[in-house]
Amino acid sequence: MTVTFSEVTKVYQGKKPAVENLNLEVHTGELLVLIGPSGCGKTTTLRMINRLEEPTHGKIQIDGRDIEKFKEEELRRGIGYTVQQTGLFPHMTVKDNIEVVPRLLKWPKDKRDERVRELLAMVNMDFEEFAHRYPRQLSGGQQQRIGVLRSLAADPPIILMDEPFGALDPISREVLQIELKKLQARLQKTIIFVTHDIDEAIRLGDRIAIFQTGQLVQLGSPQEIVKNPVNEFVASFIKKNYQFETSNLSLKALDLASVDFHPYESHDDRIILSIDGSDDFYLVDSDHRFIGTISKENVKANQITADKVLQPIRVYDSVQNILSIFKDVNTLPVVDDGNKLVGVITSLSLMNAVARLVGGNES
Amino acid sequence: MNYIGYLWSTYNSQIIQAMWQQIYLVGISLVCGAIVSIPLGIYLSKHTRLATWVITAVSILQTIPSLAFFAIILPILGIGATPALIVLFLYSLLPMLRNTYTGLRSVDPTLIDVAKGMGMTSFQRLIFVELRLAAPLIVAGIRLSTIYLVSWATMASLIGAGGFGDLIFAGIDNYNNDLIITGAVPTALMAFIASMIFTLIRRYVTPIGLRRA
Ligand SMILES: Nc1ncnc2c1ncn2[C@@H]1O[C@H](COP(=O)(O)OP(=O)(O)O)[C@@H](O)[C@H]1O
Ligand SMILES: [Mg+2]
Repeated sequence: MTVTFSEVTKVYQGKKPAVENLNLEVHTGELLVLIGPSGCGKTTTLRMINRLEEPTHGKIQIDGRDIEKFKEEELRRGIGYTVQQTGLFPHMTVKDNIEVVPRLLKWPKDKRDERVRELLAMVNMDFEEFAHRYPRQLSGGQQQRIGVLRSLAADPPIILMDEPFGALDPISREVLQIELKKLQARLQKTIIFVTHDIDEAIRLGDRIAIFQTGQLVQLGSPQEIVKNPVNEFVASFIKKNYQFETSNLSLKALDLASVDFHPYESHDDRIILSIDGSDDFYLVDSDHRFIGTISKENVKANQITADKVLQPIRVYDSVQNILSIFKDVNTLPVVDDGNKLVGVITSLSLMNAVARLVGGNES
Repeated sequence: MNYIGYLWSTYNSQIIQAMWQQIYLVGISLVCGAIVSIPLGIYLSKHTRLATWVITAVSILQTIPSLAFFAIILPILGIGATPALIVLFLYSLLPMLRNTYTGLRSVDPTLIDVAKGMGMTSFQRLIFVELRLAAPLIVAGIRLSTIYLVSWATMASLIGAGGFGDLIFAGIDNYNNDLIITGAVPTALMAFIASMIFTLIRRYVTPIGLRRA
């Protein structure tokens, strides 16, 4: 299902517009990320879709039908909703929480039971162990998983997620990102996902919409946005989060590295990451400390031990140093002082770095 | 033990009569008070501007000393159980009203927002979320009202409504300590038992997910 914003403006009384003249079409089955600094109108945009906020001007349509035309409650029961604070009802068990919307839709008990089992199985949570727990008996990551499952419960075609992983520690966040990606590959929902974390946006988004003080400033695929930021704001927003330093010649290892990791899988307290431009996978522990690399073959064969122990280099190692090593290998992991994996130098990332450097000198 | 046995054998018929009168006074005024104050608290929790005014007004009622209150009501409504019930009813309102209001207002707004976002109607939200989470505080309010009512109901004897006050005031008038104790001890006992009952109910209505381990 498509969601279309046409000239949508939202003004809260006595304030500057929270969202201004927004035109945006969310395609069927895509995961669209809304990103921007705090207060730029992401949440407001999201909440106008399920009518928790009413636009001041303009209209919003779902599959061409004005959302005003739906009965409020019916519209909402057809749209999944997950928030950062989880919003799990503390007086309800995991099962009861997941069943809220199916109950509102008067599904029979058998169907609800089956659905809860199916959903828990999707995230490898054992029904017997978890279904009858209360939210406070779960870890933060488990709670947020249940929050996500709850929004999927009645199989809505559209799902709204407002910084769902924002309050989690980095490891749980990455694990949940992996799970969401897998779920989405299977379910092909239309998901609108709010975050302020550019890494998360790049990992998850089919497209990214960047907001600045209520305005949509750029919309495009992660690649397009990273490669061609439309203005200084977008460029600095990406850069700030990536900590590139391209403007001087004392380049360091990190400036040459790709930092665009994709979580591939998690095993106990280890995470396997992939990165564009490298066939290998990278294994880190729960604190993101580098353990080693794993070949594609071994990952496919479920052989989760580091098979090559490449000596990583440090973020501030000089270019000369790096290039001399790079002759003999085709990828180079980069770690910080705490041995945390922060990037990987590949032929692709080297070329990109050169391109940036040249581009930077021209302007 | 002997002394209590002596009091009981001497005054048991008066005690039992006074007890029923006391229970009647407390029970009726409590039920009427709850029927008014809990829905009013729910309404006010959605109309917070009005709430300040109403709660202030009810608080003022509460500050009138009970003796004065009965004295004021006497020339207007005369004597007997009815005027006593009216006064007790008015006294019972505040704790239940305030706790219902506070209980509902202190429900995490995120939960209400999410309940709304999932498509619950405002009535469903109230029943399945807000009242469930506010229930322990509401019961605490009922408990407080009950304890107050048990002690104020003894004053009702002054306008001829009966209850343990009859024994206590008769004892005072006649310098009869036995009679005073015969009225005062059961009053205290009744307040204590009511308090225990509502503590248990409170525990029962506290959602398992929120109970302390
Ligand atoms: N309910 C509200 N009442 C008044 N102002 C609001 C409300 N919600 C958000 N705002 C304002 O609207 C702007 C955008 O907020 P929001 O959409 O929450 O931004 P974001 O989610 O990007 O942080 C902010 O200036 C915020 O203060
Ligand atoms: Mg927000």
